[in-house]
Amino acid sequence: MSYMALYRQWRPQLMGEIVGQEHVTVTLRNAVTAGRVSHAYLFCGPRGTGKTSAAKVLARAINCPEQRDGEPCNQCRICREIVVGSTMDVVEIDAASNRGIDEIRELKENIKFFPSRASRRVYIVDEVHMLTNEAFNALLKTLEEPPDHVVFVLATTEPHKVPLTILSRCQRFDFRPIAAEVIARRLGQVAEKGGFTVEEGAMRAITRAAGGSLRDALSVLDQALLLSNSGTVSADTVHGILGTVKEEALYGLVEALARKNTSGVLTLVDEIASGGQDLHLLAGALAERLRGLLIAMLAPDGAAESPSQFFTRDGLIRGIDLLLEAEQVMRRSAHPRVVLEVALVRFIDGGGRPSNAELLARVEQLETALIGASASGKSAADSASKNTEADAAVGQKKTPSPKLPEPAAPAPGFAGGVGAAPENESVNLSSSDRYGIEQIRKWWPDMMQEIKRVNPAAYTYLSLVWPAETKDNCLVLGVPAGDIFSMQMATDEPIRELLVRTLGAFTRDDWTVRCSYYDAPPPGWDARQASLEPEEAISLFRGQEVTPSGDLDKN
Amino acid sequence: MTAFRALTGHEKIKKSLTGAIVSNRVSHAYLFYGPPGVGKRTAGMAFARALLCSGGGGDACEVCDECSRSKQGVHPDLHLIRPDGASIKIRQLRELCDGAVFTSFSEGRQVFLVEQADRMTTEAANSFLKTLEEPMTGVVFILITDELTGIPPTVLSRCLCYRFNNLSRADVTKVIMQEAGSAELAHTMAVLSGGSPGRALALLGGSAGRDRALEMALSLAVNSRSAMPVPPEEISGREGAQEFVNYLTVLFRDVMVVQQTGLGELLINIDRQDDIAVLAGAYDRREVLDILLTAEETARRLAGNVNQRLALDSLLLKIAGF
Repeated sequence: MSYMALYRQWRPQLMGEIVGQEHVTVTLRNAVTAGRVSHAYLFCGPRGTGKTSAAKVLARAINCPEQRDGEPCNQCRICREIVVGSTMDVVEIDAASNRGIDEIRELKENIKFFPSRASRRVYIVDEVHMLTNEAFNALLKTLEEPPDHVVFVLATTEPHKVPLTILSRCQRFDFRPIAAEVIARRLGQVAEKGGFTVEEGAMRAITRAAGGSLRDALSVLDQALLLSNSGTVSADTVHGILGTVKEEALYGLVEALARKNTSGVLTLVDEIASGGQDLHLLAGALAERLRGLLIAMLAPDGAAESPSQFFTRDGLIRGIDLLLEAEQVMRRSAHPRVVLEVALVRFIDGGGRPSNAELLARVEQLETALIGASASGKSAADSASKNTEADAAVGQKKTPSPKLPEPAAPAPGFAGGVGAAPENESVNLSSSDRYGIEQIRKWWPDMMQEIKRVNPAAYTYLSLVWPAETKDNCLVLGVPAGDIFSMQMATDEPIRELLVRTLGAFTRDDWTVRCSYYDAPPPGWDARQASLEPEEAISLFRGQEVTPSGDLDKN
Repeated sequence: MTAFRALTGHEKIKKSLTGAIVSNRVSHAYLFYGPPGVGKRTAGMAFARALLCSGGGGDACEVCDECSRSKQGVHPDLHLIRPDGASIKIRQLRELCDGAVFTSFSEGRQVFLVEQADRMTTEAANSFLKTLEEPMTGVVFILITDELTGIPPTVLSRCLCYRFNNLSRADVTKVIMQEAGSAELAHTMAVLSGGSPGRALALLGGSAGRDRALEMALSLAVNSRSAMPVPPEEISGREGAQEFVNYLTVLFRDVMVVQQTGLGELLINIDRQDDIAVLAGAYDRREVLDILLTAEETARRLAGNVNQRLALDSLLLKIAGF
């Protein structure tokens, strides 16, 4: 007895029987009904979605004298002849096996003959992208000026390999991957007709493996039927054919990963491996499952499946990365099992590579440390006055500011004088609050220079005040007691804003600024008070130096 | 030359094939595919013998004339086709399929067993297809392949396809038990083989390599950082180096398992538990993961024709703790 594969038994004989491609079949039927059939069609799409079937049905529909609604009758002599293949009027060329220019030449020679019995000659060229360039060119010539009695139906899984010159001359139809439910429904029909049943788990496994191709699904079902003696196709059988892992095993693995149960994970992998199942497919299936969890986590309605609660978003992303990498390496490795196990252990360990958030925090710390070090380095290199300022800073350190979260880290040997100051400063920096008053004072000269650059007037007023203390990101400026003018100037809105901005640039933090009367600036402060240079005064008032003429005395 | 009942594993397939013979629903073309070394060829031969057996019981009866002829490999209706050089040429098929060949000597079936069917040239495959289209009585093709992707889809769709899976560990152990000698060694090789008895038998032949790798690892762990590690002299050529790295990989995988789970039954080298324990004490978890990743990379490099000594050095240095 000859074996005919399920997919051949169930090849659709009518447009209406082609599932999942209504956008194509309805259009074609309408075209046939209206008598407006194009000269050349191009059917593109993944394998097993109905391209060849549609081509064959179309060939019959065009030629069938009894066609109804764009469907062939499949009964009349012409239809039957086409089905059997005994007519010269419908020619099927498989470009995969006949790539050559000879076939196309033959085609061109025969094309001028009118159809013998049918109304049009139909040439169906399957896998047309496999034609050689010469063959394409020959075909192109014919496509450019097709005789009225000829229809070309080209089919291909790789439209990008078809030259544009041909593409542009065909009416293109794109076949989509068939949805899983549609495939399942079709398989259900096949099962009913065939008198057997398919378990739900088996159906799911088949449709998942089919990947949108009905032919692939039917092939798997074929194989499964061979191995199912009891008339029921079980999930076990299907998994055995596909080499995939049962869903329960997959869930178990994900759960164990979620609970960081290394023993559980490795035991399950052992079970799966010793059952002889395919570990590459397991890695892929796991990655897919984690991806599902990630999507569920990110979804706005966040339907929380239980395992996803145990994972962090970054953790899932990392896990998927690890598994995909493992899948690749497994292919070339002599020990795919070890590769998979290492990937799973690394996933659970979480360690080895710190998360991006941790790295970012550390980088920020380093940045601040660097700025502080360079600022203190600068001030140390400057004149002695700056050194005494450092002293003052050191001295100030001993009186803890209120409310500052200063971790108690009294550096030993602190009182050991100026010589030790530079190192102490860096210790100071790392151990104390970064934005303490000493830090602000250290930065004050640079900040003032910056302000001077932007707004010299502000600089002048601000040079009359000094940073007195800091309280929770609020800088209190010290104004000499009784100096109302300075107080007014320092609290002026634009000046205050500028200072806040500059503080922000230096400390990368938000500040507020207040002023308060103090008796005196900190010791050593006055030495820094630069007096206004003449040039600065001139530029300040945007003036010009003029030499008074002798006439000035007259006034 | 064996029979179905002597074949380990693949229960569903055996059942399906014997059932087909008994109920007289035998097709013209079969395809056996799956990973190498799991018994496809053996099953193909068993099926062929069962088809030719005059008992018709679904499995070779070993009593009738046909079975004794096929057992000795001299049955005139059983044809074996193997690649001639790199591929199976059309000439080979034609010689057998043409002319008088279709009249069987025993008025029964004719069986063509095609090994490594993925190596058929396109012409050979096409001629095979043409043959299938002609009416033939009693002719059965059994195609066998390790590489399903090498089979043209047109051929696939005309054959009844049977996928052979890796065997369970228990089954592999059963097959190689005699060759292995000890249950523990059989277990280790069974796990190492990944479910392929063919591979397990091959591994048994080279078990000295495993001992070498273990010795090396132990000495490096114990005398860490004392001297530049040197790979054993016996290792020669790329395959030797790859085998060495493979054994080291599996060893340290066992160390990882011990450290992470403490479950002895998950070990691959189950007959070397004590040595594994020593290694587990000498390294911490991070180091072991590091070593495994380095080993992976070394294997990849060796496959890429890199300087062998340098590649091994990097791995040995890692193990030695540098």
